[in-house]
Amino acid sequence: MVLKTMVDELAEHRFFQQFPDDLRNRLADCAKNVVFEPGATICTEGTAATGFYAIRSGRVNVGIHVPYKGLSVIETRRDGDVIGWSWLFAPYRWQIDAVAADRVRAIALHADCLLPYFEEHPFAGYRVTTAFAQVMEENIHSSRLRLLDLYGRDDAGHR
Amino acid sequence: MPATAEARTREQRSPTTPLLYRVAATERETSESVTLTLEPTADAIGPVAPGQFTMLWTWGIGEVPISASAITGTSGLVHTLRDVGAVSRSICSKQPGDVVGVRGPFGRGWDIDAARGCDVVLVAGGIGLAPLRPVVHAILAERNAFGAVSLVVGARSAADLLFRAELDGWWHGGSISVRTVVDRATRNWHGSVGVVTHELPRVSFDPPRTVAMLCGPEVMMRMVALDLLDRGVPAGHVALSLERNMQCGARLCGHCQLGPHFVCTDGPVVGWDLAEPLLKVREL
Repeated sequence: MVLKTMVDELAEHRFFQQFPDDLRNRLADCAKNVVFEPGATICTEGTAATGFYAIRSGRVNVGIHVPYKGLSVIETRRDGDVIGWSWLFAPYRWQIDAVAADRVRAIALHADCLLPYFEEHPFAGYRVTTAFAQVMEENIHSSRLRLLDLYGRDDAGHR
Repeated sequence: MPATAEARTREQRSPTTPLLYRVAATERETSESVTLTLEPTADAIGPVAPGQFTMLWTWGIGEVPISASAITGTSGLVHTLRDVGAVSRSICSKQPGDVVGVRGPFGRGWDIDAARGCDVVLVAGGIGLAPLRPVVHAILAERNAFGAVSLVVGARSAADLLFRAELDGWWHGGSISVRTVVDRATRNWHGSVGVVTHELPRVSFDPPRTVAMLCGPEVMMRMVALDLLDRGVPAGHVALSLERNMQCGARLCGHCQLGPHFVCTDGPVVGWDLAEPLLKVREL
């Protein structure tokens, strides 16, 4: 059995592959492996956003809790995805609920380790922030497409 | 009728003349979609290939182009259609014994032979799974002739997924990879929520040796095609089924014209290399 370092694990993850080695090495110092069993809550709307998660395996349902209806799932995140950007901005509170749909293995990265480093090293902060901006752009695009209700509209066709 | 006489009759028949088919069976797929099995009352149209369409005609209301959702190997036809207007609503309401008119088959279908020896990525959205189902059947019939095969299916909700039992069978069968994703989840949905493009990064294929076939809303196909090209799939290896206002089916009326092409005969299945510049022209 080959033991992998956190640097190795970050290098295998899609999100971190865009970063230079030195930044990835620094990010590894702020990271630890976590496991969530199916149904486990990963984050809860309104609570302190202390970091983000990079999913290594399994699926995570992201949504908003609706009273008496439970979690209303907005999207499913899976291996290669990251969850959470509320840690980047004030008021540093989660705006979503996230629940493990399967057994989820993830890498948790901690804001209290990342943010001071980014203050001191703005270029590193810029690289990570733009990477998150791309994730946000993808999510907004996905949401726009679904707002169109493409499959339900008349122009979805009938054949 | 002797075979030669039958063939002659078929050749001489105007493409605008429908033949009569009786509804042999109906199966409700979703609240809006129905699969009809049709048998000819006398003469039959020619064999239908996967991806081709016929014009289904209902008296006093009109005609709609509907792709084959299965290939029977006999004179029978299988069509799955969605109730989106007066004609399709009338046809969806047909019961066994009712009669409809059929013209066709029309157009170019999927080039399944070109996919032999290649990885295959099939992406279907909504009712778009129906024209791709015969491709899955053909691949499963000769599974070893193809590389890795992946099917990604998007739908509005779990209740809107077509061929649910068959999808489950393909998934459990394991010989092709099946991914389903819905726009909106209900409490009993345990699959993924999102858009089909989000599933693509997890689909394994060798881009230069991959053939992709897409069928669904045009916006979806455009996004998927661009993602596939970004992954390195050649434009000529990406085929999509276009939906336009098909009327005559024989490039006579011009309703389905797309630039210099007629979708009824040059399509509905076309390569992305042909479609991309045309789809960039808005309202074309």
